[in-house]
Formats: sequence, C-alpha cells, structure tokens
Amino acid sequence: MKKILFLFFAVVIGLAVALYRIIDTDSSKAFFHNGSWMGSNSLPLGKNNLLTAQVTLFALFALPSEEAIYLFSRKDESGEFLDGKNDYTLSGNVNQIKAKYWSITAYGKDLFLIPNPADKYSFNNSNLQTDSAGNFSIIISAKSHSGNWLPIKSNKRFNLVLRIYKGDSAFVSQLSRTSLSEIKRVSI
Amino acid sequence: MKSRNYIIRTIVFLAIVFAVQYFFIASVPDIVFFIAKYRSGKPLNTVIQAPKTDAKLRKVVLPNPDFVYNAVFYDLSKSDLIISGEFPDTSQYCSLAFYGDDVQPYQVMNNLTSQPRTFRFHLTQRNGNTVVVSPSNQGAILMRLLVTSEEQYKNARRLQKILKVETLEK
Repeated sequence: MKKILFLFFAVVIGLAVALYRIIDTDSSKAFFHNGSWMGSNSLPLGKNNLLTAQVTLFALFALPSEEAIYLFSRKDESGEFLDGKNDYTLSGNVNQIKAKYWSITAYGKDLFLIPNPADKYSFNNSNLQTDSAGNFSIIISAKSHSGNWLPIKSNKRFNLVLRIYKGDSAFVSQLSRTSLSEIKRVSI
Repeated sequence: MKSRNYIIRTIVFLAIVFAVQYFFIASVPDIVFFIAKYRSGKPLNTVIQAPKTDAKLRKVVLPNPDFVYNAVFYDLSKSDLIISGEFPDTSQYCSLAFYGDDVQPYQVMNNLTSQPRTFRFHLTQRNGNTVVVSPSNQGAILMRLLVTSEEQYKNARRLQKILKVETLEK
C-alpha cells in the first residue's frame, strides 16, 4: 500500500510540474513580450518539447512565422487581466501593421469565440471604420456601441488575438520591438 | 541504514517526478492531435468542409472568424493520397498547410506564390518528385480561405467543394 501511495504521489507531482511548466508562458522562451502582447515570430520551434507543447496548446495548427504571426493578450496595458466587467479601447492606424491581412479577435477564457447577438467576433484591416488618415479605435465592451464595437461577455475574462498574415519581413523581424496598439481600460 | 534508505527513496521519487513530467510534456502534441482527430467526427482521409466560422464552432481552439476552413485528417498506413483542388485568385488569401502527427507544419503553400491555381499533390511518406512527404503515418491538412465579403464567401464555399482526397494503392 505504501509503495502504491509513493508511486501515486510521484506521478501526481510529475503531472502538476508538467502542467505548470506548460502554462507558464510568461517566462517561456517560445514567446516574446511587447506591451500587452505575447507572440512568437520563429514558428515552428523544432525539437524543443516544452516550447512545442506550449505552442500546441495556445496556437493549435499554427502556420509557420513566414506565413502568419499570432500575438496573444490576456492583460491590459497596466497588467490587469482583461475582464468583461470593464470597457477597453484599442487604437492605432490601419497601416501601422504592414501585412496582407491582419485582424483582432476576442475569445473567451476557454479560447473559443464569444457568442453575442451581433455575431461580431473580430475586426480586420479591410472592415475597420477609420478616419481619412487611417486612424481607428476599437471599443471592446459587453455593452452595445456604434462604430468599431467588439462585443465581449459581461463579468467574464477574455483574451485578444492579433493575427498578421504575410507580414512585411522587415516589420515581422522587428515585431518584438515595434510599437503595437495598447489595450486601454476606459470608462465609457 | 535508515538514512541511506531515505536518500534512495528520495532519489527514486524525484526520478519518477522527472520522468512523468518529461513524458507528459513530450506527449502533448500527440494527445492534442488525437483529440482534434476524434472531435472532427469524420473518417480519416475525407474532406471536412467547415461552415462559416462563428461561436458555434467549438472543435479547435482559437478559430479565425474571417476564414472558411477545409480540413483532412489523413492516414497513409494503407495507401498514399492524391490531394487536388483550386486556389482562389490573389485578391482572396488562401493557404494549404500540411501537419504531421506532432501538429507541426511541414509544408505550407499559398495562392500568392503558387502557380497554377489548380493543384494536385501526391501525399506519401516516401521521397520522390512532385510529392509532399509526410513525416508521419497520420497528420492533418488545413485549407484556410480568407473571407472579407459575401462574394468571397460564395467563392470560398465553391472552392471548399473542389478539394478532393483520393486514395492511391501503394
């Protein structure tokens, strides 16, 4: 009996250590951090088991970096978790990201799209409402708004994903240092 | 004697902890691939034409709502495959990505660089000309079609139906 308990605890602790190491993306070498955003511009990662496991869980069936870059955010610019009890804005210029296509999408904590009556889940470089200079502001809120409104669920944590397809190679190589739109908590 | 037993037990305990976490981390891609294949709900070597991506799509995490997807979970153990289809013109981005059973992409092509627009590939595990060589018996193919207008959506649905998978005896 003692031997079975001994083995059981060792296996449980082994699994717990593995899970902790996989979800600890903040200190992962697979991802760079740029303001609110975390991403990788060197996929696929080759034979590193831990990094591959992390990418598999957070970006299943991801494309290689020369095809697409995925940036992930679960916190606002002040480091607080994104939460549907608050409203947020994300502002920038549509030409700030040099790519064939880019988009911002909201996901629930479960990493699936957030059901909403407007059936609106994302904005991309071709459907954002901008001013004549290309400036835009996306309102991320559980309450309905006019303009670029990205619906989320009230009082539920959420994540944002910025996708960049066929990005300009110079832009992509500088992505960890380039200024990206920050997610600001606001009162609307 | 007691302290020697204690040291041996501690070493064995730590070795088991290390081995379990090593094998679990190494198995994550295989586990995730198995779950994705199972959740697809379709037989291997058939084309899955996913509907327009919305909140009802809950088979694979982080789906892109701007894309229409075709997927194939394949198995080359009994036969090679012929994959054929058509890319849209360059106004509508489309890619065809091949993944091994470790869910890592080993080949990607898109309509911006591939000519002609129609394609036909021999998918096998053996090297050769005009073939796509899979690193594993099983894997997946994902066709992504960008949709930013109703017209592009209609075209994507048409192209979804053109993608074919045929088995080829070894």
